[in-house]
Amino acid sequence: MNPSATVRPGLVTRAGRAWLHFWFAPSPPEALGLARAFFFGTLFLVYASEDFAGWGAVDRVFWQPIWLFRVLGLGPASPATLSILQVLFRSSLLLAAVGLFTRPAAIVAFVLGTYLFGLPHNFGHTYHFDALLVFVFLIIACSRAGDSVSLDGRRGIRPAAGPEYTWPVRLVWVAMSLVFFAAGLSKLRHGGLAWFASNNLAIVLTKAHYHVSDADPIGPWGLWIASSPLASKALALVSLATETLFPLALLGRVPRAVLVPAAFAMIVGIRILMGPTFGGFLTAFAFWVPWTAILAWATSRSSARYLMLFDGSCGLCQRTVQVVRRLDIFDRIDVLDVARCWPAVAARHPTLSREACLDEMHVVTPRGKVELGFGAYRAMARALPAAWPILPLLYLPGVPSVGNRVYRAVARRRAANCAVEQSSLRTFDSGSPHV
Amino acid sequence: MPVDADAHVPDVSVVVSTHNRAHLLRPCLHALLRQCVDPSSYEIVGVDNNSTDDTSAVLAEFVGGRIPITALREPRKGVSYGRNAGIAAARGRIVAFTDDDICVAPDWVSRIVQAFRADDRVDCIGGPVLPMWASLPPRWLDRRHWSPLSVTDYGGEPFVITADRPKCLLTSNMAFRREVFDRIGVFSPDFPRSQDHELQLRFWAAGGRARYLPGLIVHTMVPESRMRTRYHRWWHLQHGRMCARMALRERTRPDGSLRPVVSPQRMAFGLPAFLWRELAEASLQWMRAWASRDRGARLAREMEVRHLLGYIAERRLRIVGHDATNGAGAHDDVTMRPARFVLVHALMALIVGGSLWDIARDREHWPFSQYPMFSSVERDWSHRTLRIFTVSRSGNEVPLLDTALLQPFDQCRLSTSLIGMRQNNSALQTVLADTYGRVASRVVPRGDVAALRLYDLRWKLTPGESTDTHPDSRLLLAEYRPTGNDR
Repeated sequence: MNPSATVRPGLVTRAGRAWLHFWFAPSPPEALGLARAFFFGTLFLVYASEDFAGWGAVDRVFWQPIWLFRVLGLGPASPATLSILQVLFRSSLLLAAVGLFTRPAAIVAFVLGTYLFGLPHNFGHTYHFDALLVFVFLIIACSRAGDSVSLDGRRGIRPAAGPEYTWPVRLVWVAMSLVFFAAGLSKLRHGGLAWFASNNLAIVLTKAHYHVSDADPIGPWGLWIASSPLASKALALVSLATETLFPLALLGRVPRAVLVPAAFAMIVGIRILMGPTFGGFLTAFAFWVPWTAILAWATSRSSARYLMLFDGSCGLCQRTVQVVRRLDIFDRIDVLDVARCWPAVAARHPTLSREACLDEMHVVTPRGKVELGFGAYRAMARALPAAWPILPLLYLPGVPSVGNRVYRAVARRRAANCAVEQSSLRTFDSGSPHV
Repeated sequence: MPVDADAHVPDVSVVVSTHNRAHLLRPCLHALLRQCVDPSSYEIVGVDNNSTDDTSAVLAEFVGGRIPITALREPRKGVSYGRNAGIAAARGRIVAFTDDDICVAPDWVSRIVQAFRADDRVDCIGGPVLPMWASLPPRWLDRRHWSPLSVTDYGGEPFVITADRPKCLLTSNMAFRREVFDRIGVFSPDFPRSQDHELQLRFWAAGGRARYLPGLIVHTMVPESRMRTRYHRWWHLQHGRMCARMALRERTRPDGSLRPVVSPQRMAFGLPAFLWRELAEASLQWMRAWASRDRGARLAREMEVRHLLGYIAERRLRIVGHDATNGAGAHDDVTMRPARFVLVHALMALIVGGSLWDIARDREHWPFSQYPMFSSVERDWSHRTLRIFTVSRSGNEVPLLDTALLQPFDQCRLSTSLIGMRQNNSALQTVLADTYGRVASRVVPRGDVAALRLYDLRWKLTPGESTDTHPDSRLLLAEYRPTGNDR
């Protein structure tokens, strides 16, 4: 026996391993790709209507440059130049979202984002949360976030899980943790325990209704809380605890499950109760979403298959099946010709009748439920991404009734016009696990 | 390529792979044609490795002469591809290699043939490659710096080369028995440089014996561009990378012999620990060499460090701190290129370090801001703010609360900005004029705004209530009345 096998590694070794594990434990590329797509896509929508060009026309008397602009010698560009820059910026966000030229797009987003986000701070700095976005741009620019869930990725081989897809997410986590921790620490440093033990938050919530922010509170709930000393102190305590303890979210799933939703709710709560809007910052929460678990769940869901039974002797049915095949990009629908393979269907689903299946479209859902006619089409729509936009409409009251009538009308016409044709479609033989 | 049994088989096939060096190729071929052996005993296989100059024409000039010359074109760029194409076309029992910048001696082919006939156990022979300087070399460019020049001279005594004494021969003066390639394969295209060394590693690992012949001399032209330190620095980095691909340092014992297999190494920071140790030692020796007046010695130490840096940069760091398993449950090594590893940590240091610096110093430093919003404790149930009002023709005052009118400002930023200029009346006048310009462009009709006023407003707050429209007191700080031009 190798004696070294039983030797417990030293503290430094274990700390080193924990460090490396935190940053570089392999992750699937899809997790980072989805976070990237969600982050940039949402950010594109958030900043689609933001007009930075106006800063170019503001009088220089307002100009109070922050250190970065002072050091780099930057000033406000002309409105025309800013208009061009913001178009480029938005384009880079869109390109990064869809993953086309991801790295150059992220670099452009970083450079232009730093300038455009930083520009307003030179006209009155207000400590907004847009700084984090600049860091996320930089992190994505240095990462391989475009390997998956991207148009770039479609051109190559699907990459395996690796450390390159872990550290960018973790670094965004750490950057966000520092934001919250710094905010909490600053409160404790400047206000101490009185920050939550006094009327502080009640006063702040009341002041918020005097047009002090970039937006006004959405409702009067802030005033309601301010009228209750206990409620305002409790809210202050929870907020302070969330901010100060947020770095614990880096250490494990349980604190993450508590602190991340709490922080998200706090940001949303600030918007509702006090007015400040941190829309861009909220998008960075995309990196906290457990995409890997969601992917695993979705994969297990997508492996569940639908079985479509159709009359292969009918030309209309064959054309329908051809359309379904084209739309079934995730390959979740099996198709079986009842006219040719009835024994296989009967063996798997003894309760079905051949006549009924020939008379009406049948779909067996992954749970074994048999849907007919309009219901069959609606069930298939759940498996066809192209149909997802209209899927909610199919569940509206009255729609199934109308749908069934239309289906029967078409079916009657089909029965009248149908010519017996030999199916040329791919069908499953009786050995298929799905029949 | 199988050799046709019926055709005449020469003793030696000389393979010359060339790329865009037509001006050097002609003298090289002339030297090869002037061999003092039976012309039927050897052939020349010239491979144009995707050249864009006159190489093909130069090769064509020599085809059809007394000495059989086969001219080939290999479209895949890379000397390994070129030489492998030459091996495939070679008909001789011995395949000799030289380069387009080499001038072989008249007895080169005959010495090769004699050497192989003299010792059946030897499958490879090579000899010194001596320099022909294009200009006077700098003083520091002594024998310690010959490797980047493709020059080698192991002395005047012949010796056998095996895995126990793995001295690398240069392809510009080397020959193999043809069947060697059937045993160990041909040149690896994965090695854009040092492919001859990699081939010899396989040769030695397969138990091959080579012989160094001091009399088998060729000369190579050393251009001025290779006499510069910049070239040598670049070459050692690249050579280090190639050696890393061969795991050469892991395979080499302290006495210089080769291990049959790479044994498990003690790891540190994702690499074999001895690499870090060697880098530290080489760095230390380089620093010590700075005390020396011998520039050649200093550069030699520097090149050793560069070689190690290239070696480490090419290796993938094995990140050991995880227990990842793949679907089959087997342990996977998580690896990363050192450059990426350093980049990631530099990024971390920038973002985390910058933020922690601000946190520690309790200061604001966008984008490393510590976000001290609402940090101070509000104790007074009162509110004070600066607010701009529009004054209509009829004298009505309306606070500018509509964000659309204040654009690109919002209330928060405008207040912050105004507070910063509160004591400067002329600045406030400019602020109001600027605000008027932007407000007037959005108010229809424009003439409705007779003036803008800046007030310092104070409220006495009531818990849970808002009396925003009725301040308890207000102080006029500045007023701006537009002139005719402003309208």
